[in-house]
Amino acid sequence: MSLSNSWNSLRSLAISENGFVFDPRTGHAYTANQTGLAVLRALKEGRPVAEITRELSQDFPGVPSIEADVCGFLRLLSQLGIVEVPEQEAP
Amino acid sequence: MKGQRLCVAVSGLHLGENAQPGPGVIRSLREANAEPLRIVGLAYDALDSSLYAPGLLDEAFLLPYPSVSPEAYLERLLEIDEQCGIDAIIPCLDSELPLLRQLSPELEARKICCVLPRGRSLFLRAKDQLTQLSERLGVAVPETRSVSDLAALARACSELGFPLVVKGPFCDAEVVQGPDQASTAFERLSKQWGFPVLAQRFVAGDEYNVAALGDGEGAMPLAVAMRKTIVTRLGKAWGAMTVHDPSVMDVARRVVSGLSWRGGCEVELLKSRDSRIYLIEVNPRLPAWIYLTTAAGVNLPFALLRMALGQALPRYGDYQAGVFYVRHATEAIGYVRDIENIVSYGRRSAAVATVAHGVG
Repeated sequence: MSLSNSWNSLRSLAISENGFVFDPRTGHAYTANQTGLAVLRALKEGRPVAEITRELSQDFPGVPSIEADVCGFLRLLSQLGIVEVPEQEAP
Repeated sequence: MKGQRLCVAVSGLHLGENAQPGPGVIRSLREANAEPLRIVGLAYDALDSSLYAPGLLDEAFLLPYPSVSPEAYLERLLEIDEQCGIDAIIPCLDSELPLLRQLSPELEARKICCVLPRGRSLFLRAKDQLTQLSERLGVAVPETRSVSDLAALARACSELGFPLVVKGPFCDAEVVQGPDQASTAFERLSKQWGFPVLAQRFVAGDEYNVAALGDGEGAMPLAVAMRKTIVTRLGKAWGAMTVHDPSVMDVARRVVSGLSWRGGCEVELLKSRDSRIYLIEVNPRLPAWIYLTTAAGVNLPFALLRMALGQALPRYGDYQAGVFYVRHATEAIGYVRDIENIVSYGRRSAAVATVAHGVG
């Protein structure tokens, strides 16, 4: 899964240490757990999804659903308008 | 400056269900000026809430409604000027603007400063001109029909479908789900607000408003955008949060620029689920939530006052996103003597406000 035109949206997100996420474009706020927070930070740094998934797999060896979990999280971010997933890959 | 303190007259003083901008404007002005101001309230009703709210007004006067006659209005305004020495007026009600435009030579002669939009700009932003305006600016607007009788309403219902938004000509709106509800809303709105009632295609999404200052030459030097977080039955923002959404600000800029707007205004927008932005309305003065702009770092009422006085606009950095308000209604207390002052003498001074309980 790849992301398109998401850089500005992601860059503007305010993410606090305790998982509070604020989107200044909409005024909406969310909470993320530590794993979600790690993914969001990595996306904000512009790192590819494949690399993020690989890293999580190393951190949590033996968990088979990591790729599906990351895809699900990205779909959620897409529904919230935080990232844009290209149309052919959209849920 | 006519007196020892700069004297600013402000109207739109009622903070009720349909909140007026005066209190937010005054609060902003009081916070901005290092030198204390003398704030004179221009009231149209003895029960305008700001008359009894502590710390807002130094003086208050009753005026005849702008609809009574220009002569009566001017006469009263000049009486107030005699007594207080008004340096500037910040009008906060739509209905005052055409009248003040008409009276501007007299105001100028009395050295009463006021920023007013041009007549053409006022005409172009009228609710029944919205579709034409949006076409000219290339901004989307929900499909709208102007309806003056039940037959026209029925046609609009069948063309636009349900849900449908039925709106009064000045304010107030209802989302209706069928023809019966539409007729009831039409009857109520026309009785309360007059004609034409507007039937508008319903668009689901978030409501965004932009408070802005136009320089009259097409530029929008200052603006703050917010998203409504609590919306009342009348569609008013009981709660809101400042946001930085470039697409919202871009549409607001096109509107202010396209109207060559001079002075303060509010651009009401709706962002649909597919991120399309629709123009809902342009209000010709600062909005009731204006203090939020001051809290976020851009004091628009103060900038408007500077503009009125012919001074350079204050320099502000970008406003802060994520500043929010929740309107907190409370009781402003008055006593019989207060009512007597305002009704019998048309004047109320904070200095002589009743302090004892009862009749006094």
